[in-house]
Amino acid sequence: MQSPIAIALFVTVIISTLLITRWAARRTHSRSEFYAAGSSITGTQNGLAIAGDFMSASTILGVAGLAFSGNSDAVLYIVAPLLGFTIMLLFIAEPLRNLGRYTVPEVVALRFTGRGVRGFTAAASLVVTIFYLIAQMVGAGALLEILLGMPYALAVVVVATLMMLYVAFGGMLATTWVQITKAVVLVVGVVTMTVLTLAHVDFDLGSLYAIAREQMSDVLTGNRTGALNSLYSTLSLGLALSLGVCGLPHVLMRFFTVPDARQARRSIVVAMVLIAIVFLIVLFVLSYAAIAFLYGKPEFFDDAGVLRGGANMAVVHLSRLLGGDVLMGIVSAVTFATILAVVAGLTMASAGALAHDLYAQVFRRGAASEQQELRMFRFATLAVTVVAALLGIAFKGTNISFLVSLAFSVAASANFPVLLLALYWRGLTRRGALVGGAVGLISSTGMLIAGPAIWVDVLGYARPLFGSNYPTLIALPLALFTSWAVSHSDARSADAQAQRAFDELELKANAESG
Amino acid sequence: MAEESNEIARRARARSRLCLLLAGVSCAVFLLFLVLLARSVQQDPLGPLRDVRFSGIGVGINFAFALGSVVAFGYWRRIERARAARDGAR
Repeated sequence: MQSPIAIALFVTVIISTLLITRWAARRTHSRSEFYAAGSSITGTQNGLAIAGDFMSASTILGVAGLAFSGNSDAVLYIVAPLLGFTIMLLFIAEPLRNLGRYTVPEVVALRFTGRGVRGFTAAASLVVTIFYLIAQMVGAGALLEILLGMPYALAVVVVATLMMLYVAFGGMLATTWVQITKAVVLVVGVVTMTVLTLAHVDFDLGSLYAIAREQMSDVLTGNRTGALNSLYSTLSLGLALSLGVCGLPHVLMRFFTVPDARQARRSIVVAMVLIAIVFLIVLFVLSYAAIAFLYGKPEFFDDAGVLRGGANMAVVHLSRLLGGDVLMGIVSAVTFATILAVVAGLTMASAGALAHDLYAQVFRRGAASEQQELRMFRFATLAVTVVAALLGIAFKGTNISFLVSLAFSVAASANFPVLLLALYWRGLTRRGALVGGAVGLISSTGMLIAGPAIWVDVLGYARPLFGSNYPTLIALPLALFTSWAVSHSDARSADAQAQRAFDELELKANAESG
Repeated sequence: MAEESNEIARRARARSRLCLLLAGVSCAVFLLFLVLLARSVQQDPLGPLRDVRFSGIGVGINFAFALGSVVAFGYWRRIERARAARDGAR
């Protein structure tokens, strides 16, 4: 499938992002600049960066792929995140900006001094970002293998090397501008494809839907394995995809890059509008166009009747049909930029948790100098890169949507409840936060491992121990209940220090609301 | 100082109530849509994709409530800022 145009555009993306990194590296020296771009990003820029950080290749290609293969879960994947961003705006963004400087565990640690809760929150953040990174690496390897004919392992190593360069040298400033560039290019890309799609049907959306409906009746039988086939899975995945957004460290970390709470609010509004526009276009135009135009065209299918490269490549094939090699090259380069922007954000969050929380605060108890911490940050970036590349190669062929849902489930069941309760419940004790968070983390990962996708498909057992791949509907309430119960059992020896800290935290969180 | 703390606490309480109300309404609409989606798929696995009007209205209403909450919150913020400026001028 590789064309000279596609290769030229890939090289352009790589050179542009490396130039951004070089520019950012000259402006990034201190700890504040590395972790938070010196809090110098405006709300609009940060909104673009959040949109760039959040809209991964698996979201764009995956949603169209789901619809193309007759899986109605695509609708759920589009609706849920926007609710998550609303909850983030109403409950999380502002206090986070007012209380923290560099990382999310730092905010929780304001409430509970000592190393336990901070260490746990950092570890949970690391688990979420590593799962997410593996998904992106697997997607990147497969995509470059198909688009450029590059061997899978080499493709993973190329992406890993680029993300290490962005983060280790350019820090948050480079990551931010790579994400902003990606968001702009993505919006331009999907709008261009929409115009070409509509031109294909004389700008009559109704006739596009009519053709797609005909194709559905002729070719698609409907997918019976999706989450929407049971009410439990529907609610559980809906909960994970919405509340999981509020526990994603690489998204939350972006609020430290703006100067005040007002800019933090503006960030979310800009991000929500952009994400809504792109998601609506992907579901209601591009997915239907893929169904309408690709089915019945043998050149896009292999001998077994499967779409070349799998259903996730539906949008890429559609771009070739609409605009030839030029548009396909552009769409492929946009997808590549998408992956680079997301992995840069994830690496930033992982290296921050390792260097700032685990190394400087948990192991060195705050005794590390700024220079030592920054050295550790670069070392952590390298370590995360190596681990992500190795796991990306090891997990080749694993279902990407499943890996992403793993990250969202853990984020919704472990990170989100601890952060929400620490910010809003005065009665939460150190033990309550620690045990509740641990129960959320262990139960969500345990149920995922015991579910059909790992227990049966990967480990080869005949029957799963847990009947669903979606644990959040059980794991999240369990984490909240455990936090409540343990905190109440602590009531006699009330964690007076934590309650005093809550009063101070509440004042600070609301005092600088802007 | 105590007066300022009381004012901050009052504002925090008002804000929490408003946020709970806005989030509650958005969540209720979302949950209702999830139930309708699941029912639609149980009748016909392609139902939500085939019936564009159902999906379009459902997604549209959810997006409208999400963005509406954002607008309502922003409006409340503006009123609070104006009130704080008035109090400051006194």
